Amino acid sequence: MYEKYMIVPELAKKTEKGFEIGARLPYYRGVSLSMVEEIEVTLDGETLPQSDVSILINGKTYNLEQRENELDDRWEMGEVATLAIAKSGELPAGEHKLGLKINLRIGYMPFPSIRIAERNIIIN
Amino acid sequence: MSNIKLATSLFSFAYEWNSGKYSLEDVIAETRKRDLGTGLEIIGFQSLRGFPYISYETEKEVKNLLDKYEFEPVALDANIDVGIKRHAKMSIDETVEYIKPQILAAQKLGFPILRCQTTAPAEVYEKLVPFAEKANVIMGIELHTPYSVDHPSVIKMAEMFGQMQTHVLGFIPDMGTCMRAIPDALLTSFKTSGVTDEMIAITKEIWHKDMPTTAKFGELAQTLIPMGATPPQIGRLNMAFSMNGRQPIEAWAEIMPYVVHIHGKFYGFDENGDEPSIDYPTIFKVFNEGGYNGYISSEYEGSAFTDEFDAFDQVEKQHQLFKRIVNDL
Repeated sequence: MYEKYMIVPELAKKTEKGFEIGARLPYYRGVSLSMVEEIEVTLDGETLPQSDVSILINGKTYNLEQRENELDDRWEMGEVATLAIAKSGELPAGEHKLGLKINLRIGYMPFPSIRIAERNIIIN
Repeated sequence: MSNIKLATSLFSFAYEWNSGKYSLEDVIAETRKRDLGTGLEIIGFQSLRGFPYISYETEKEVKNLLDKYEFEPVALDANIDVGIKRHAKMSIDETVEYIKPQILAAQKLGFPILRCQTTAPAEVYEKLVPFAEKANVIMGIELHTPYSVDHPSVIKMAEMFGQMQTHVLGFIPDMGTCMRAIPDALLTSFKTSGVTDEMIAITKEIWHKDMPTTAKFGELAQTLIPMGATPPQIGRLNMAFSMNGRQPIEAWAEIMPYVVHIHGKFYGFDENGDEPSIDYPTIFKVFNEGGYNGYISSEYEGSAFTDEFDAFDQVEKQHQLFKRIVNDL
């Protein structure tokens, strides 16, 4: 049931380049950023390109490629990361339906560890 | 009469912890308040910032908490992330180097056992023996399903143990390896991903077959894809095979001399306080008769599938069950 705490709605806001949200890792322990195989954000039914999602954690920002290659820096359990999503076009202020899928590559599990959360959040 | 001792693994409270409402001290204090054993097991990458590197402050904090709440440090859990790189599995030597600082962390914090994983082959642990002997830390390799006593990797590992003649190698059997049913909590969680009762019935039927887990994955996919099951649904159902092993409990006798710790995995209880999916009375009987006198740690796995229950309540129920069993032995 880690889905319940994945999206941190209080941190959602509009930015110059798009918007950002808060997120927790849906797992029982922390992992190296390279093990975060996928972060997929859906806004009002539209799936946004994963290459447009950056993660801000431990005071650093990682784009998709940097995240995939970061073996040392970790996303700890319970730690709230900021996901910055680049999105062109007008984003109306107010309530939006947000979907978040996080796929972890746990080397010793025979299948991917995928968790999907969805909730309505206010983006102003 | 039984000499098996009770412990709790903080794995059990992952969900409570993930909520951000508990500190490490809160979790340990509540574990003590509810009288959940004399031993404590913690997971490095869950509870300790900066793990596997332990700062002086962390060392002091952990030791103070164990002291204050009167817990014996039983096992520190390592994770062996052989898939840390996207396109290449860790080499043998890289895996050895990944485990070394985790051995030192156990030594520093005073845990006699480092829980290791079958992700790393026998060769890795063989190479680590001199290092672990110097640190005086036992590498307890967890036998999590599908790694039952008859698994080729486990047989190889036990042979290597025999050749090495060292006190720093041992096994940690996980009771999810020898189950009698797929837990209800898991079955119910499948339904939220749109899995039908018919698909669940087929999954249960395949689970009861005497064939390797990988063959079960294949048969499940072959049967369910024509019925319209999606890959994510099949992925969820595969958990029924990968999480729930069917090794006979009596088979643990084959590796009994190497058992250094036990993971008391559990999912839930019926109205009588029994665990319907894991036969704990028989488990205690087999280990007791085998002369095992170490710890068994509660590992509540239900949080991954349901938030209906409080994990502290669940572990408390398991300890009530364990105490009842121990009294009857």
